[in-house]
Amino acid sequence: MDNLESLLAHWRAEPSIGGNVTHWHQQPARPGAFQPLPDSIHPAVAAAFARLGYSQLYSHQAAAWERLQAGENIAVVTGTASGKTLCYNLPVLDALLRDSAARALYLFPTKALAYDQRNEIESWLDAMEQRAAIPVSTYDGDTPTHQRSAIRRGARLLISNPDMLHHGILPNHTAWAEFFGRLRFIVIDEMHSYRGVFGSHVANVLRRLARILKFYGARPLFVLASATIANPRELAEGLIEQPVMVIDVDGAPRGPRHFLIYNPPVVNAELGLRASLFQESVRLASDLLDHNVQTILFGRTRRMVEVMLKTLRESSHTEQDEVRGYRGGYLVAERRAIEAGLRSGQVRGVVATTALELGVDIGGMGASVLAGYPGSVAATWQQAGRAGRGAGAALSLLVASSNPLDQFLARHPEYILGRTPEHALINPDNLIILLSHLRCAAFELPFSKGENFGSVPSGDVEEFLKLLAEGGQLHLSGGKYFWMSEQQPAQAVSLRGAGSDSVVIQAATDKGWALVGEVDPNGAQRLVHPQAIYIHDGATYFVDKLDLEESVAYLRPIEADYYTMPQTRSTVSLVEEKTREPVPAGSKNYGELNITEEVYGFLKIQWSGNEMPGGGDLDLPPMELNTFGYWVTIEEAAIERLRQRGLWSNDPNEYGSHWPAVRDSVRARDNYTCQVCGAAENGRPHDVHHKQPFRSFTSVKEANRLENLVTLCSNCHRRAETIVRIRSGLAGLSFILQHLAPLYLMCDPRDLGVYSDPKADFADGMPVVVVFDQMGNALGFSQKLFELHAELMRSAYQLVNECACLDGCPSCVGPGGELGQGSKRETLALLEELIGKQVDL
Amino acid sequence: MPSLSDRLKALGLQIGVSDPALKPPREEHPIESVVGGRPQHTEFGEAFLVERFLPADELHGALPLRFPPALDKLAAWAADSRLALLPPERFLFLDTETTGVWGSGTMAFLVGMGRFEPGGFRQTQYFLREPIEERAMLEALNHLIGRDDALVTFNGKSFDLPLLKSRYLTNGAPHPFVSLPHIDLLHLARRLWRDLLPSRALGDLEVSLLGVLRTQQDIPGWMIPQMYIDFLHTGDARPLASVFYHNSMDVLSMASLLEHLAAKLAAPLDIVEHHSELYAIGRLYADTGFAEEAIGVFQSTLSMELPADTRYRLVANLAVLFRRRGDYEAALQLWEQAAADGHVYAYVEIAKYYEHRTGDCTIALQYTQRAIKLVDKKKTPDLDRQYWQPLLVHRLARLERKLSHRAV
Repeated sequence: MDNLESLLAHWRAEPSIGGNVTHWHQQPARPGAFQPLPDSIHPAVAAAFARLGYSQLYSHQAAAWERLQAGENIAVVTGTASGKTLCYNLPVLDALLRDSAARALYLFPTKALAYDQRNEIESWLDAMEQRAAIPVSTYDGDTPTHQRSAIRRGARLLISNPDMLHHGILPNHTAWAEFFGRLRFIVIDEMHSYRGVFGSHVANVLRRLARILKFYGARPLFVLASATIANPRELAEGLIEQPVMVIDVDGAPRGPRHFLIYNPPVVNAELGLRASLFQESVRLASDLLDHNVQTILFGRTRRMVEVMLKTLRESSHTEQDEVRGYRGGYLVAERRAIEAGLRSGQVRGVVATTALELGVDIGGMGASVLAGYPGSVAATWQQAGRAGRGAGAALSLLVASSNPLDQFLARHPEYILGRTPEHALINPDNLIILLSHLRCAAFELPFSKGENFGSVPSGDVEEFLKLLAEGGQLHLSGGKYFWMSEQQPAQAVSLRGAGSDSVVIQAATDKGWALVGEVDPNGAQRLVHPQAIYIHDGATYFVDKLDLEESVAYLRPIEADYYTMPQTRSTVSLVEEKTREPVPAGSKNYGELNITEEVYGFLKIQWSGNEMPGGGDLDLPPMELNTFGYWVTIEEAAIERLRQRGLWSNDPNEYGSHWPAVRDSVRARDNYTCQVCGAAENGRPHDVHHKQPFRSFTSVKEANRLENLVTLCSNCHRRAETIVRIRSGLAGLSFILQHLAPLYLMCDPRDLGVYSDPKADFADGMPVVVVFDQMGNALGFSQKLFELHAELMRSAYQLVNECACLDGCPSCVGPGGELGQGSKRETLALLEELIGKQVDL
Repeated sequence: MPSLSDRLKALGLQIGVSDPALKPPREEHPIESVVGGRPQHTEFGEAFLVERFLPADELHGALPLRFPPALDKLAAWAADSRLALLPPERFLFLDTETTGVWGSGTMAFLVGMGRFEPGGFRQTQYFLREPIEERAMLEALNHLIGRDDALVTFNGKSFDLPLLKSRYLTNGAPHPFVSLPHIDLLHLARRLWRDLLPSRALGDLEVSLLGVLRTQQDIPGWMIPQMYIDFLHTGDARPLASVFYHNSMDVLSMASLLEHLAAKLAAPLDIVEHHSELYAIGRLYADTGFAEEAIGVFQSTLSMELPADTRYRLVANLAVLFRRRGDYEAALQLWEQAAADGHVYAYVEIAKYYEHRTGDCTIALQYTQRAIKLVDKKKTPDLDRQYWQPLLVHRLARLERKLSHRAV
């Protein structure tokens, strides 16, 4: 029995662990499905295959070979570490060896992955002694100018990214004529990352590529590779607009797997408070490390990663550099070293954010611990899939937080286990995205009348072209539309939204300033605001100054017994209302909005999790997003009807005129100390909390009985509130729109923001739910939602009405707090109003 | 369903000039009425060209246009012996005006060319009245540019030629530039005048070297793309007269510049006055195999008043030439002089001479020791010290070894 199995047996028997496991799912070992290397493969590739220590192919690798030899495009969707790379490297190397003029193009979403793959392919070329005959080149923003023309002429295997293809290669295709003319394979790895706005842009870049390839008479095959998503074929065919054969039967062998959901025990029965998520996660990870199981611990935020890293190092019997952190903000070289350390086993544990989710090769871990639900089923499987190597046992462990969603999953594990992962959606025909790429395409080659653009029929294309010609960017001459503007269309389009300069984080050392990391400007205010404690790889720094103009944060090392937590608030204000139309129960609106997020202060939290005095206010410029939004305003009459039915819980709590006196007497009774953590008041009075939610009472007097009241510090109060959260109908509506709107728009949920306010200033104090474009400038999402309002409300109603859950779940209106209430009834009632359904009172 | 334009407008999107009322009225002033010219029929439709003939006695700037009598030095510099043998009428001067500066969508809307003929210089400018005429223009160029022509351009190697080739490619037509000899005057100008002239742009060279003054009609090059785009929108060709003038002047100046450069390279000592230009020509001679001529130029430059670093580089170059032709006495003389001025390399060269030529290792040792002493001095820059020290120490050790062997 190996280390992990013996530890699991111990856990099972140990009530303080096994007793908290709400679900223990065991997947038996799966033998590998092997096939011999096909005879048809080039002997030099076969020889290298043996030299690199392989003897057979997994069945999916063999299937990939067969499909490609039959001239079909393929999408490989198999597990983490199942050898997807070989699915394309084998046929590509074979083709490059057989035809000395053949070329191949590899596209990766990030430079880091391109770097990994280049090393991989070079090890093959070395094994074949073909390094000179098959030049491999990376062509990205870092490629020095003086090397570029040699690469254009000589590269037979080009590794690049969609951004470079978009603004560096396609607009200059004549310099690549030979490359394009002889292109045999296009590899698109990490396909799942091409979703939402980014994916919609990439699909259009591929339409332009197809146009150029047709011009040079090339018909390369596509190999796409992806992590698990619900719709690999739909996404692959949406991206390349050609038929694609999906290969998803994983032939790699797998040891037995355990999937556990662990719910931290209740530590305060009266308030229902559970043990801290991060302490419990660290305790379990520490146990794993001490049993010599290589472990990855996922945290949801950068701060959480650092806090857990620090405690994990303290609690486990490991050396400092055996447990590492890994998150956005670490420098590239540092990340490379950690990845290599994980592969070699020198690094035994790593605490990571999703920065490690994407394709980065760290080998298989013995265990993967997820501190909190990562937000989607797909992400859960991607993170859980980090555990597992060969025939050994593997453990994936989800530790639930007290957040309603996590608590729901702890009670309903089938929700994760039985459900397909999320859809990856793109909408290449989004007006604005399509228009920008038609411009780029017209620059690359003039459009002829009657020409289509990918699946966009010629009639629609011409409508766009005419418009551009009227605007003066195109010129119609002899039946062709020529680009006629000095502006370079591709330079004006960014595939990933507005990129802004990152903030450099530097710390004072004996030898001057040392670069510690970097962070995007929006993250900067949260992570390195003045007086913040910044944690990097477990070391703590104090932020002296954040210079946003120069994009530098100045830090100094400090031994701190606390960390800081920023306090933020967002507001939505109206810039200009463009349209308003009456709808049942109120109005639908569309207009320009200003979304501001402000880091207005920070708290100091002891490592044990208790708040301590000394936090303060901050004076930082608000981060603004100017964008377009669609919102629904609920009118007074509708609210009144809901109130009368007892289905409107958004009115402010009126604690009664005696409340100040009641509150003070409770504090005095409780000796001015927090009844959970024991903290004394320190300059600021503690809160007084209703054990049973105020809203659940019909009379103020009942709610304010002294037995129902308890003194809590603000930190414990926040935790207690989460557990008894009552979700209102308005919140339920915004929850469902968050999930439903992306399906209608075929965009990624991250492309939209949702906000609700029971008393919105910009709507004359009426309740609103806002959905806004997250990408800064309008991509037309909210405009489209405005048009689709009636349909959207009808589908929302139908979805909630048909959901089998009792009182809200992640699929409909969202769950309520663990001891609170969901909002299914309230939300349904609100939706009935919004679809104009008559309800007899 | 609202129109596409309305839908885009609702998204807050403006596409160029959205209000037709703001557009200038289309006032037709066809190009023919502005610059003359005529259509030319090709199998791909009509091309449009303007021709002009300058009699041989016409001045461009201060000098008459004429083809250089000898191009052997230029041919050697361009590393293409064909250039020295071709008759004048095979040299095609070429300059394009384009719709932008980069990318496969950039077009050449005006291709200006010039060629010497008996009795004068013929200029031909092909112009796209409409972008669709491009294919016909490229075809016409294919007839005009011969398989045994040579090209003369200014920055044509990195701009005009790649651009034209790219246009042929996008039109699916073969281009006429396959292995034509090519003199890119910009490269030569950079070589000769890098230190002397603040700008090697053609317009500035004209003024400082050729005495050409352009009239008010000229416009700066950066304005040209937009002027053509405006013409396509308005149909008013009148402003384009300036573009034709600009292009024509560029081609004429290239012809003048070629003559100017060829004359200077043929007899630098008679014409060239400035030492930095003379030095550059000497270097060019030395690099292209005209060692004797190079020595002559260097020697007479050496008699001029020179800045210390020019003199230093000149002496070093000249001594190498002497050494190569076996004139060690002359070389030694220069090195001694340079050594006296405190140049480490000169000591090394002398040491090499005695060690390898005369076999006199004792003298070689002395020079090496003196060089080491010099390098050790405080005033020697660190970089020089880092470069020389290991080499000298190595040489010293070898010499000592040789001497000790002999002593035994």
